[in-house]
Amino acid sequence: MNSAAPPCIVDVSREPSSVCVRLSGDANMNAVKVLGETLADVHARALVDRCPEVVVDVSRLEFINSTCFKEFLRWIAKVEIVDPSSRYRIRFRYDHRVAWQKRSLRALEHFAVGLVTVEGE
Amino acid sequence: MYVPVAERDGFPVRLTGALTNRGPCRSWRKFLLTSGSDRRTIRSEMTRPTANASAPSRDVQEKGVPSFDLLFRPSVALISIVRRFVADFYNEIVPDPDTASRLALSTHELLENAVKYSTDGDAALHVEIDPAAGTVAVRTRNRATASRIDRLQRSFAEISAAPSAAALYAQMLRRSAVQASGSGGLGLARIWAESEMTLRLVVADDEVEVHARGTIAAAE
Repeated sequence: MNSAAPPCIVDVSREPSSVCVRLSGDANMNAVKVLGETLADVHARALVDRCPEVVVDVSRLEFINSTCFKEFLRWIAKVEIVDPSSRYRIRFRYDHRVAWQKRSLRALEHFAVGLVTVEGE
Repeated sequence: MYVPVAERDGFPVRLTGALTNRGPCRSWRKFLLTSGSDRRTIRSEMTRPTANASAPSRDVQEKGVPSFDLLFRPSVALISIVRRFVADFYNEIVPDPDTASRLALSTHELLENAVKYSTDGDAALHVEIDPAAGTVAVRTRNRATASRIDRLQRSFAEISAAPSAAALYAQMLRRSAVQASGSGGLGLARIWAESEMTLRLVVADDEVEVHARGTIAAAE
């Protein structure tokens, strides 16, 4: 067994009616910059494309530290101030077997009621 | 201090102590064998704790509750390795996976802070579980700058003044969302709210200890 955690990988793809962001690995201090930049890019792209929804799949994310978690908060806060006519929704997908995913994402849902939804798979 | 089980100058991790009455031995050995590029074989026997002054607690010595101490040099890679090791340890000792996950989260957050703000390159972690009593204690220790200590004391003052873990967490989420950078206490609020552990700060000169205590389902 290799005890080193896998690096955080952020994969972005365009789907017919959404932008999909898939995260995997370990979102630790090494991942903060990449995650922040990626979410900024996703935000810009979603607005330009007038995308109604961004889906963030964290089901393969092993862990997220609070610094990376803040990047989600900053992103959500930016979406909150977009004019409602251009604003997109954010939907998080998580693995219901991973307890921290459920708890942390529920916190995001309560943070931005109506904007963020979460669903366990 | 415990009798060293494995120690080597320049090796990034030093583990001291060992004891345990069941599962942790297996996790312990696995960690030792995979925690660096030098995957040397360690002695297979487990040393018994000595009665020296800094042994973790009387409970550990008298009851042999599962516990361990880690002292290591800061490294982001090592934090994740330690979290995986700790998660294995919790999964072995704590029957409920949800509880084990809560404990792993809090341990990671505390340790990351200790490593991030250590001024002398060392961060120490102590974890102790008493299945019979249904309690778990996690403690990190590091040296920190005066400004970091001041920041921590303000965060703990906010924790003390908060009406509930959920209220503080909501406040910290909102604050963190607009904060450009720096530590705003989100990690501590997350531990309190998501891990359901109480927190305590102990400062002596430039040494900082953060204690987190929680409960687990007591063993039958």
